[in-house]
Amino acid sequence: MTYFSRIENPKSLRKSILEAAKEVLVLEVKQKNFLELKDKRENLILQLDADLAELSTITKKLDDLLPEKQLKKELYKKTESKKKTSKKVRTKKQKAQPQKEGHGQPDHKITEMDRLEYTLKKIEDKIAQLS
Amino acid sequence: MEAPIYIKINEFDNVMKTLKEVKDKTAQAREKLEAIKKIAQQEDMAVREWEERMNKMDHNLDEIHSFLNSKTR
Repeated sequence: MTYFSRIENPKSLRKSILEAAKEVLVLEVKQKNFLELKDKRENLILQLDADLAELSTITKKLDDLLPEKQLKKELYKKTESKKKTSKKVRTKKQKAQPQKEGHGQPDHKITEMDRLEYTLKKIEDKIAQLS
Repeated sequence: MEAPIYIKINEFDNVMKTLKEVKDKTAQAREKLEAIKKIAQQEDMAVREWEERMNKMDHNLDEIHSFLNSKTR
């Protein structure tokens, strides 16, 4: 079916159509700009992530350089040497008595998140002790 | 009152250097964070502008619709 529509004010209609078309084009341009912004932001977030990882490494280095850590290292060395000597004794015993299958300790994988949570808890405990 | 303590730092220069590294890296990270915040604000503004323009477009379409519908034969 064909309709004939009487337009009272063709100028206004033309203007409305043009304005709607203009808005569509402007929205398209804005969308392109928005995507550029989004890419820029995502890029910056990746860079920030890398910065934080680097910061974590430097902080660990600093922690190693500070006295408490040095003391811990010394203690660690001592306990490790003790462990080694006790291990030697144990391995000799184990050779004599073979272990049963499936009774070993489960293999726990420590994730980065676990490590962060552990460190955070340790720091919070220390702060609580000081206050 | 707590008594002061003295701690021995073996590699003092190294500690100072590392501290500076931490400070510099933190400043860099802060700069990036500020840039991200700025972009996020721009994005918010863009979304608001989209909304306004879409409303305007809706209005235009309503107008066109009424123009075409008013005197249909």
